[in-house]
Amino acid sequence: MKLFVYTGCLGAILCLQSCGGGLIKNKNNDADQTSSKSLKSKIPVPVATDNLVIGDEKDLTGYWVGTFGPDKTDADTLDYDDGDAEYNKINISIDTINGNKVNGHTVIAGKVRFFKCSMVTTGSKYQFTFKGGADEKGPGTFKFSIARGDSLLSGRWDAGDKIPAHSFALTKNLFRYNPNWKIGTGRYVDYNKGKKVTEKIDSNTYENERYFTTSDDVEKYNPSTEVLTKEYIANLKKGDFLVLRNSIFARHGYTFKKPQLNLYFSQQPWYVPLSNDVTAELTATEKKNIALMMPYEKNAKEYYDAFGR
Amino acid sequence: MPLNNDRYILTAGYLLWYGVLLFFAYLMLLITLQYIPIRTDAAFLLTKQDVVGMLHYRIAFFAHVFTGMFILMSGMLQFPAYVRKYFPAVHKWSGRVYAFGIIVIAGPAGFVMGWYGNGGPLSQAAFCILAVLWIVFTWKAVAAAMARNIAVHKRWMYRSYALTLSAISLRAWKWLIVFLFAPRPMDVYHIVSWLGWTGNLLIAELIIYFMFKKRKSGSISAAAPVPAAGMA
Repeated sequence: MKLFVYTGCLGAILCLQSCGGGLIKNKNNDADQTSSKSLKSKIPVPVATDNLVIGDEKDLTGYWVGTFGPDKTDADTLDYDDGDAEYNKINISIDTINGNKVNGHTVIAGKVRFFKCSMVTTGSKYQFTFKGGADEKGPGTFKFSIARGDSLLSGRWDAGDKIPAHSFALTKNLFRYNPNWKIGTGRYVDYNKGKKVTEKIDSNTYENERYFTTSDDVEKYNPSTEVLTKEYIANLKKGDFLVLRNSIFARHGYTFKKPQLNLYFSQQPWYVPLSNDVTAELTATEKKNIALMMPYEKNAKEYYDAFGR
Repeated sequence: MPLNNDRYILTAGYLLWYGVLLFFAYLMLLITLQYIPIRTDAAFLLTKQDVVGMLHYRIAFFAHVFTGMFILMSGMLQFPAYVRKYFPAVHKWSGRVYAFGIIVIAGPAGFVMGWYGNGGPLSQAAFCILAVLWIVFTWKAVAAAMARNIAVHKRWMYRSYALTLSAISLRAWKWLIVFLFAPRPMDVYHIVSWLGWTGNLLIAELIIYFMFKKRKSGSISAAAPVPAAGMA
């Protein structure tokens, strides 16, 4: 009789099979930014003069970098002291100018898009207009101008009535990689924290994982300048790993698809979005740190809050 | 056999206890299965990449992990009075598997793993002490059984199995602490490396104390089933 009940009990336990797996391991469905996919078409690097104020046409080529996002109505801006804090960075690169033929590319939220257009010179203004997408859905039109004697590239991206226009004012950026750039200006916070949210990125639907915010630990060491110790890495949480490892890529100008990472690094004053593949740029120290962090990060993601050690 | 309420409650308590135990044993099985086929880049081993290259560590780790399941299950068979009464051979042979598994394989292997353990000297000490006590307690239980000293055998088996169950309680504590406070991973590890087995041992001592105290006062007859419930 008792044995019969024992057997029944065992059967009931085995019915829990379906839920058991989730207790010992989390699904690792985080799309990774470290992809080693190599870009088919090489991203051109414009030859830029050191003049940040435009003297003549030669000074136009280069990276033009600044914040980029939908224009806020008066009602929106009431909520923010600093509207820029909500914006991501954009890089409009003017690669070459031949006569009035312009080649360039834009780097926005994980995407590099090439453009060709003609430059129209009216008075002291150089004007550019080309069709191209941005972070919002739908094709749009970039229209901007730079005045001689000025350091600002200002313009607008429009994509019809349904999508808010994006106004921008960019400055020329003479990007030079610097491993000493520190991450700061507040913590990485996932604004969807505490919720499971489904969101669409690049026509794929993701069930967004909840992230912990980072601790102050991420500002302690710089993985671009020093090889991290095992003791330090072993005690990091997954939010720390996410920011720390991606800071390496951010220093080289990796453009992030993941909205929270894009926003976080866009707030770093030194950050310039350049490319969607920076693998070739990594230094030996950085490669070593990425290799060191990878297994711990995987462990932190999959097992931190699971039944296990 | 008189069936009164007390007896029903007791039986229900046992069933619940074994149910919980089986559930956690099942989770342990799932953890073990992650390393099949032999993998050095899964789960816990992700944090052991610096030592997993050493052959003796790999031997110790896989020996510990794969015998663990058998020890847990054979240990569970030791306690029900039903098995001891009607299937003494099962008791005897599963007891041999249990003792051999700990004293010869999982115990020494656990010591090697503790030696290279995560969390620095403090946690390493915890795991090494745990391994030594596990072997000693189990050996004491075997020696008492061979000397036909059943009362002493029972006491050491409670202690031994309490340490065996630290495999479960360590992970349960870790889950609970992370769930409640979400501290950094190594901070949790420092805590559970000690809490995981000292708590169990304390409970085992309490069970032993009250069981034998009741025996002496005679409030429960000697034929009453030994409560296997309460540990971990």
